[in-house]
Amino acid sequence: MSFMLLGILNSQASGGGVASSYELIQTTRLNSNSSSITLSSLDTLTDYQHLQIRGRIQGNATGTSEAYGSWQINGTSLERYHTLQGQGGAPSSGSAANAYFTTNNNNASYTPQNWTNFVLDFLDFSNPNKNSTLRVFSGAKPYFPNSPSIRFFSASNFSTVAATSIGFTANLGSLITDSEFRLYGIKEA
Amino acid sequence: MPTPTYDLLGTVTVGPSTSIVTFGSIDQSYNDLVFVIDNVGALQQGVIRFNSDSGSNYEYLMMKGDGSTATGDSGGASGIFTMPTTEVALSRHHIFDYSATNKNKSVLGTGAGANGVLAQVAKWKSNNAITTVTYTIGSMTVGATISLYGITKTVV
Repeated sequence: MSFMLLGILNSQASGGGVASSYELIQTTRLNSNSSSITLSSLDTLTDYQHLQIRGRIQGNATGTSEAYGSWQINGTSLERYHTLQGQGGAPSSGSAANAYFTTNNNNASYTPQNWTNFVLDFLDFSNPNKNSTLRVFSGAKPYFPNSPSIRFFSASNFSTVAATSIGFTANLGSLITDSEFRLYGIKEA
Repeated sequence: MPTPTYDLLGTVTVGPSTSIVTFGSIDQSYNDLVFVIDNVGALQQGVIRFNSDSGSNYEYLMMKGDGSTATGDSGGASGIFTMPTTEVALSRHHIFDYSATNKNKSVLGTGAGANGVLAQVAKWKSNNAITTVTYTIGSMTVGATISLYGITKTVV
């Protein structure tokens, strides 16, 4: 027996008049290759308790090296990193800052339609009593040598200074055109 | 201006003997889809397919744990399997850029159940826009819910 929903419309999703607490704040898409993407003015987002960034990145690093980069808060690197990662065998864990992503040069047969997608959560981003911690779930298939294709990643600062910006910088090559960060806010109760 | 989103596009509460749930004619105005499976039943292998494609056009990679051992798996498949060897009663899959016509479709998923947890990345090797999502499993638990959400890409 099967069940089929056809003609799915946005109007079906109104939730019975309950206002959504999850909002798209801004979309940042690269129009040309760039070494980084930064989302600023986070301190003005006073309506939200949590932030989420959903996006895709792809690099142009050449040769056999994988592309990787790192996250920053307020323009500086974070202090602690932890990763749970898998490439098909037994998962492993590490503490490096590097966040790996696909490139358009390592394997021509896989480009340009393959991207590394991610969901980043920044909980209580403006709370002055909590250290800043990012949680990133990312993945790409296929993977490249030494590039974990699925990762749970945390990056933390031992600082309660309010976050005003969050950025990602490629340490090898650049992020290519059409890389995109979409910033969402989740309202507090 | 901030734009409310994470819109419920459709949900199905499973009745007796349901084995296939299809969400068709999906609104193409969103950027991502989120596919949520709740309480589908124990020890059954479910599979997600797009646009009714049951060919060997999918790839997956996962890591999973059963409480004592962490393992991984990867390969090609005829769909995105939500529960290869670990019981998963609850799962959530993010389907990125589903309406794009210049990208393979990337999926990030997590699942949990009585016997373990898993995380996976999968890909549908097609640049076609996804218009239909189908979930197939041997037999679903009556009362299970299968839901599809849309996340917008445009601030209005």
